Amino acid sequence: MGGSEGIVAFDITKKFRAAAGTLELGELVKDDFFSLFESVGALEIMDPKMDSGCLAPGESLDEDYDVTRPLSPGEVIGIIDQLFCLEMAWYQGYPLSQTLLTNVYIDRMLEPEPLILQDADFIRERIAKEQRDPMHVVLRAYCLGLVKCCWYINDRIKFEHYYEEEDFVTNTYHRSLLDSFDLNDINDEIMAARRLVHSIRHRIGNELAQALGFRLELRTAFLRAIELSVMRSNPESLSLPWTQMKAVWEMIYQSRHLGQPVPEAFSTKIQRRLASTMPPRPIVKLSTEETYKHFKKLFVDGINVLNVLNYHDSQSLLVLTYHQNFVMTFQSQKPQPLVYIRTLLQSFLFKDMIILGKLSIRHVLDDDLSLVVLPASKFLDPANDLVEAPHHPRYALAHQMELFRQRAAQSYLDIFRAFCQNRCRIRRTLCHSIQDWETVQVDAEEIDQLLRLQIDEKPHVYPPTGDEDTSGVEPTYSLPLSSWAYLYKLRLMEWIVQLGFELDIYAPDELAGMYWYLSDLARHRARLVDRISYFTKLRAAEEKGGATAAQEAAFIRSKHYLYQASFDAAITWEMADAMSNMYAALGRLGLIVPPPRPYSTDELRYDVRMKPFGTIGLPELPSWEVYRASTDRAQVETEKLLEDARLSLEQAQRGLEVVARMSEKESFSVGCYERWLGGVTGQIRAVEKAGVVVEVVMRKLEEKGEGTKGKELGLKVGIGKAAEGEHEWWVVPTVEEIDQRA
Amino acid sequence: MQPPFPSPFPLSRNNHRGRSKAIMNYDALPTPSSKPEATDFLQTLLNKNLRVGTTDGRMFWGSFKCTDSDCNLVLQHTYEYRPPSLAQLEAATTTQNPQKGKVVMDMTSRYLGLVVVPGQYVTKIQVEEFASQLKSSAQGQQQQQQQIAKKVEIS
Repeated sequence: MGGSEGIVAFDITKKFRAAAGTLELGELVKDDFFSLFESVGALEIMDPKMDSGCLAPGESLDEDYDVTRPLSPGEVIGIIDQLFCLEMAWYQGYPLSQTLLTNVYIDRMLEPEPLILQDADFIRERIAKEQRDPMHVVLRAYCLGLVKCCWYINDRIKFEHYYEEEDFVTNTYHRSLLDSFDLNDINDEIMAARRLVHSIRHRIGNELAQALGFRLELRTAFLRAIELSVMRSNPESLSLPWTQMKAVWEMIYQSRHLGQPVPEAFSTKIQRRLASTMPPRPIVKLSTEETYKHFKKLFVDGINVLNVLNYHDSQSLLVLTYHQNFVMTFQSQKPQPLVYIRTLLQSFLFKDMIILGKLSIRHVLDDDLSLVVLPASKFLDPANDLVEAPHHPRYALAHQMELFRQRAAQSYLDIFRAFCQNRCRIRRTLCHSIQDWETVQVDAEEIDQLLRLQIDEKPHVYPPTGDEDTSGVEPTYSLPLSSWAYLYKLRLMEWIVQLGFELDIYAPDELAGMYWYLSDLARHRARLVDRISYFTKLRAAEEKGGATAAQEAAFIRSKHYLYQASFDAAITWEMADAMSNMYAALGRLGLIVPPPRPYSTDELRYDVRMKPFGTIGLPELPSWEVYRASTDRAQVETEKLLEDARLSLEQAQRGLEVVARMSEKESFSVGCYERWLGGVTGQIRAVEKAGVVVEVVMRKLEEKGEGTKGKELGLKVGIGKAAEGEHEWWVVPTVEEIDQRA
Repeated sequence: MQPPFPSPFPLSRNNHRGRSKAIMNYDALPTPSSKPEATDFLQTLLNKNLRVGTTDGRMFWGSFKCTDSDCNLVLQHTYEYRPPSLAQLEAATTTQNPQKGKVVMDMTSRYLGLVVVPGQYVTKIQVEEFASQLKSSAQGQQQQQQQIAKKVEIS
């Protein structure tokens, strides 16, 4: 017997063993409420793979590193530089337990939890008056800043939409990351340390003192950048600390040789004391070069992401399509910006449902509508809201438009939010989004009908026949809202397919089919853009004369947009056609051989592949027969396939060259023009490469004559990863000539 | 040296899901010999807090959920307790001025959750009871045994 107060413990070892011994093999005594299913998740004690407390013989749990030992300046630099590597690994998605929390100094600083800042120190029981090792002061100040940074970043990421484990691990293993301490106090400590370093510069040498100073300065700037990021105005002042960090980082990198590594100050043993059931896992070690590269990118991205706030484009209003472009191009960088930067982007865009810190969703949505389908339309006239007579048509317009905004706003913002995620998630989320946009389109159609009655719109025959006699052709209305929704839906569907290429989802023998489908979607989009342009032109003609300068400008802006959109669609379909034909030819020539798939049929696989699109009513998913016939083009000769591919590529190239000459404004890429242009030139290079492939195959085919296949052609085709290609959406194969006798 | 075991939530755990069992003095209980007796004995232990010692000197404190013929134990809401290491012990003896060769130290503990302790590593099993409830256990024990007898008849 024995134990805590009020509790008595009886030793029942023998009785228990005897009792358990009478049970049959496999027989259990268990609590009825406890299911064996639950026990699957139980940790097995003494299993070294599961039990983090299981020690190897002779192993001790304690860290025997002495944190009180004096440190040389070189060692402090060494430790700080190692901490950089771990910090970056954490930003990249490794848990704290395998990164920063493996550092003995940080561990001692945080455990037991300090209640006053003075206690936040790796040497707790210090004789107050005793002169402190200045290097300890520096390291402590640096660690304070680092941990506080981590807390802010963790907090920001947790607040936004992200995927735990996939993107980032926010678990702090019950360690408080100095959350309760005031940032100013920590800043004071860092500043004091910087002064201290300055004062001892003669003793330790200028070079070392500077190197230490840079490292502390970086922390100050980092904390400042984080502090400022909650404000979403004035990007110039926001970018200041980022610029500073970028500069200081170079100096830090150049002074890395001064560091003297202290590997003993890092240990996986600390993990056993964290609130985690995971056995110790190795420290994640990024190399100095990698760390350098990633930090540099982090700072550059940090500056760039602030550009999203730069939209004061004089009176030409905000064009969200700019930002769409911004988000798209920003996010398609390789490698993708770190999750922290992505959450910053999210918070800039959406925090508190206020877009970019100062715009209402209505503002943004109306602007988009005006750009795409309703330039200078009375549907969007803010004066409508002022009409109070319920029978006035303007009152009805305001009411219906408000209904539509309420319906569409969430779906609209979801697209942007989706694009702030990691690439795989973007695709996955978009697959759900298109279902949503399908219903938005249906609802929009209903509202279109009501609005049409209000303004008494006259129907027109579309597509225009050219004849005077339009009898027998049903005239249609402009249907602006549903056209807008349909355009977005089509774009989303294209993105899903394109992201499929980017993420290497499709097998080589699927490429021909998927590119055909992409071209099909792009054609639908091109037709829709044509239709929208037609009705916009009609309206512009009707209002000619009565239009104000602002209205004129709106029409012109919309015209530009539609012009650019139809170009984009045309280029997409031409390129996709070329790719489809090229891959179909390669397949026919036996240069791309499908792997044996004994347990499925092509048709079933098609159903699965196209599942996200299966429920979409418009455009309807092509049937398997149509898909196969259009992809294989069995009645067309192989030479003709290649010839078609060559022609399409030429068309695409011509289109791209026009697009590449567009200005920032014309291409709707203000603030992200360079990234946008980079994408266009990437596509041009992809077209050129594909042209070479087509040419080589054509030439060989001519040499060897019709009917030669596979190896006999003397060609070898390889398909690399999309990310390594010229443009991630256009997977161009490599063709190698081989000696066929070999 | 008997380390104190601080219980983070002493009351809620013993009345787990309202299944409170009558208290008995385990020392007075005979070693179960027949199978029904043995099963009943184990049944009464369910949901009680056990302290399970293992071969490496650690102790696990959690609510007993399941066992089998190999004496594998499933414990829920488990805390791990570890005796102080030699180094810590040395440190304590220098600071505490031991009288009669005794020092007082806390075991380090951490929360683990649901665990299985394989029977082969189990060195000691203890069951916890509230001392306050134990005082009236003389009657309780009789009732308890009657209840057991009843159960046996039914089953």
